[in-house]
Amino acid sequence: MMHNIVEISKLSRNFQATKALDNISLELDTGKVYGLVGENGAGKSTLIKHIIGALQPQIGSVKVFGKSPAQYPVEVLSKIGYLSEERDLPMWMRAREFMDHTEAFFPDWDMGLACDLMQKFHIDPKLKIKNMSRGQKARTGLIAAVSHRPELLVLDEPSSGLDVMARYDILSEVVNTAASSRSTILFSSHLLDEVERVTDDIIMIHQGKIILTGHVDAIKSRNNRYLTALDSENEKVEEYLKTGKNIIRAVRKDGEWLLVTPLSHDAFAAEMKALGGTITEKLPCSLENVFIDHCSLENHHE
Amino acid sequence: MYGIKLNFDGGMPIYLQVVNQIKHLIASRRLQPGSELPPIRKLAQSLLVNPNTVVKAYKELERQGIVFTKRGTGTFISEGHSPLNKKEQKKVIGSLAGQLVTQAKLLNIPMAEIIQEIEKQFKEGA
Repeated sequence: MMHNIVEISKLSRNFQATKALDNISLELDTGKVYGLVGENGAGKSTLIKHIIGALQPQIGSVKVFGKSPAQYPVEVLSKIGYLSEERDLPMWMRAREFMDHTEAFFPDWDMGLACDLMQKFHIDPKLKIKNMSRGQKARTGLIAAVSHRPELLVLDEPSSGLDVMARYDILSEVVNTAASSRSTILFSSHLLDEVERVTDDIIMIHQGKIILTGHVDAIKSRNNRYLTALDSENEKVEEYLKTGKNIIRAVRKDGEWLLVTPLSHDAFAAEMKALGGTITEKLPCSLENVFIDHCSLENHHE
Repeated sequence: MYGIKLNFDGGMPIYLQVVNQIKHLIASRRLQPGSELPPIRKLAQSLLVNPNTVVKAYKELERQGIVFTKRGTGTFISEGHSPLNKKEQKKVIGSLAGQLVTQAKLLNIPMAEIIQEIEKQFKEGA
């Protein structure tokens, strides 16, 4: 039995002098929802393009359903649903024509599902795509991406530039797909609370590298944020702030030090005590905090 | 659904927020013993969260003896089990009593009258 829908091994990609992907290894399990997060240009879309076979690996390997998507596009793509940020849809088609057109590519296409979703999202089947609002286009693209009940659904920034209602419809369909089938879902987003809501696991990517993976609760539990009173004039303290192996980030904040550490409260309190300092407050940690703590340029010192 | 509100500011895991709010719904009798919790898929849809998060919340409620599952039918609220321990109960009542007293003072209602009203509502089984 195959568990990993996607297996990526030591994948690197250069665009001229830029390292877009740097030695990425990643496995996606069947039936889970994965959230891919990172800054603009971090490599999210490049990674996704390798998974859907739009880019062939220069270094390393990509397997989807056990096969290379670039070499076996027909077999692999028939089991993938894909929606990109650009949503490049055929503008001259009407909604229903677009569904008929898409059906031809997918043996498992379910026109009943497509029609139900058009009704649910108030998409008039006779409406031309070029006359649709941005939100209607996104919904139409989503219907086309899910109506063959894909084993792998890939959404690249599906919420980008959309209003609240359109985002709601898209997230709701992600939840629905996750609940009703054994589909694996990978979606990228800038909206971290959206990612936190619907994913099982987070994949955080920064400058072409995967810097964190795991369940959001587990990731947060290793990103403890403390305000501390420390004398940074002291050499030992200065050294600790610069090179301490348990310090993810150290920033001066209103006369105190904000320190981010994977350590639990007791273990960290002991380290502080050894340096003659104390913890003054434990701060809450959102996914956005984790992101900034790991990607901030001011890491380790200002 | 049931007015469950989620907060993503980083305080508490989502599944725990669901657990705590369902406990309060039971404690405040908005959910009755013996009644059924919404199916996982429906609650996930309505809260717009990953279905596995709801599964985890229901499992935690079951572990605490607050709900039980009947295979193939659903998740039900256990009979005669207060979902909150003594300390939590006291906190809930304390906060409501605080509001009541503040309001009574504002309206110049004497304590005896408040107690009378509480007794009345208790007897009527409100």
